[in-house]
Amino acid sequence: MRNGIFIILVATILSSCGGYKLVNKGKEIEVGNSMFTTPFNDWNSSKDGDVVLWTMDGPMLQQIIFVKGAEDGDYLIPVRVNGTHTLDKKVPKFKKDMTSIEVVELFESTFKRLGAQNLEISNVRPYEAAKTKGFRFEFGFLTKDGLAKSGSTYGILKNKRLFMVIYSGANIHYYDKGKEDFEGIVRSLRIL
Amino acid sequence: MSVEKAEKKSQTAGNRVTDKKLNDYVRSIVCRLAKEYCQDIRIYIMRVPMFNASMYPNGMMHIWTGLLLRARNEAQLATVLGHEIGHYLRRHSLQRFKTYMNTSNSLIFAQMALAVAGAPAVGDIMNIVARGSLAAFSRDHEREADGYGLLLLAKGGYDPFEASKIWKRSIREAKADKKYSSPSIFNSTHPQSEERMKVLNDLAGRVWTDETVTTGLDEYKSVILPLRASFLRDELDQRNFSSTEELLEILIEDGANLSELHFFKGEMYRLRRKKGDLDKALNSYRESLALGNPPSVVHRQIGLALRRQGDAQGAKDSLKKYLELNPDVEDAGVIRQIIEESEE
Repeated sequence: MRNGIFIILVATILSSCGGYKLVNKGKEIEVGNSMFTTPFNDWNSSKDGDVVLWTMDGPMLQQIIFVKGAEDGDYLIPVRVNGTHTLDKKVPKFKKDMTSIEVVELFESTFKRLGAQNLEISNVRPYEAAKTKGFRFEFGFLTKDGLAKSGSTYGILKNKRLFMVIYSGANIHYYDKGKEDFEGIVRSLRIL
Repeated sequence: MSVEKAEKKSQTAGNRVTDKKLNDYVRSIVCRLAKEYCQDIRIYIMRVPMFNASMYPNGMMHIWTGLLLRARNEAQLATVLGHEIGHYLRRHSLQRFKTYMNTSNSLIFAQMALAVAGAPAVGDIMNIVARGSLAAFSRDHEREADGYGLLLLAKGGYDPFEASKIWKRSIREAKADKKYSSPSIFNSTHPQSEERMKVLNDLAGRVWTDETVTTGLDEYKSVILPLRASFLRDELDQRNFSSTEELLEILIEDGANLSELHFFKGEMYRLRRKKGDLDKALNSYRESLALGNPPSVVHRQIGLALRRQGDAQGAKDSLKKYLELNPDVEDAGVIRQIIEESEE
C-alpha cells in the first residue's frame, strides 16, 4: 500500500499525513480506474492505494472518499490498526456477489472499524448516475470525541466492481459547505 | 493522560451510551452494592462490544456494553461491578484502615479470622474491606477485589452463587476463540477463571445469608433485552466469529427472545462465509421464523443468502415476501431493483 492518506481508528475517518494535490474546479478529472468527475469548486486530493480522498478544509472537517472500482477481496477503505500502518484484518472485504444491501452493510462495518460511533444509516434508495443504476444513502455518526458528522453516499456495482463516492462532514457548517458540490460531483460522474 | 482528563474525554465520548433507563438501572445496581459510597462513583456506559468494566482511582467507572450482553441477570452484572467497586474501596479505605489497624490490630485480625473461618455476619462496608484484605483472598489485588465483590453482592441481597457462573460463561467463550485472543480483557488480566470459579463458589457458601436473595433476572431482561439487538450487531462487527458462535449458544441456552438470537446466529454464518455457512445461516433464519416474532428483515436476509447460493427464484420469492410483509420499508426501492436485476 502506498503511503498517502493514513487512515486511523480515531476521531476522524481519514487523516492525512501525505501530500495533497489541487483539483481545479470546472475541469473534468479522472479520479482513477476510468472514473471521471467535474467539481464546481477547488478541492485538495490525496490517496491511499485505491482510495482517493478530497477535502476543502481538512479531512476532519469534510471529505469525499472515492472508491474507484474495488474488486473481489478488496477492502472498501483500508483501515489501520490504531496508531500503526498495519492493516486491520478484521475489516470485511468487498465480494463480487454482493448486492447494494450488502454493500451498505460493508460500509457500516468498515466505518465502525474506522471509529465511527453510533453510526445510523438512512434512506437507502436506488439512484442513477454515470448512466448506471446505482444506490444512495445518508448516514450520521459521532467521532470518538463526540463530534457529530453527517454523510451522503452514492454507489454503483458495475462489472463485479464497486464504485462509491462517500461524502461526510461536521454537522456544524462543513457538511453543508461541501454538500452541493458533492451532488454535482455525483451528477457529473462518468465511469467508462 | 491524567484521570481527570480521561474523565473529561469520557463525558463527551461518541460511544458513551446516554440511554437514561439503562444508566438509571446500572446506577441503582452500583448503589445497591456500594451503599454509602454510591455518590462517589460516576458511571460511564461505553458502547464497546467486549466483556469489561473498569474503575479509576477518582471514582470513574466504565462499563462496556459487551458485559451487559454477556451477563445473564442482575446478580451476574453485579458480580463484575462489585469486583470493580472492591478495587475502589480498597484503595480509598486502606489509609483510613491503616490508622485503625495500628491501634486495634488484634481486634481487626480476630474479626477477619472469624470472617474467613465461618459465615460472616455481613456488616458495614468498611468491615467487609477489612475482612477482604486477609487470607481468604490473599494479598493479590484481583483476588481481594473478587472477595470484596462477593461480599458486596451478598450484602446487596444478590445470590452469591451467580458470581462463579459469569466466569463459567466467560471461560466457555474464551475457549471457543480459536485464536486464543480472549474477547474479555477483564478475563485476561484477572485471575485464572477456573481457579476463580472454584474460589468464588466456595466463598459463596460462606457469605450466604438468610436474607432474601435474588438473581434479578426479570429486571435485567426488561432493561437489557430491548437493547440487545444493537449489542449483538456490534458483536458481529468484531468478526470474532468462533467466540460469537459460542456466545450465541450460551444466550440461546438462557432462552430469552430466542427468535432474535437465531436470527443473529444466521447473520453470523452469512457474514462468516465459510464453507457450508450459507446452509447454516438459512437454517438459523428459518428457526427464527418458526419461533415467531423474528426481526422484520429476516425474509430479506433469507433472500440474500439464497441469491448467493444461486437460487434465483427462491431469492426473489423471499425478497418479495419481505416487501409484502413490510410495504413501507425504507429500502424497498433497492430491493425491487435487486429483484428486477435477477429477472434480466
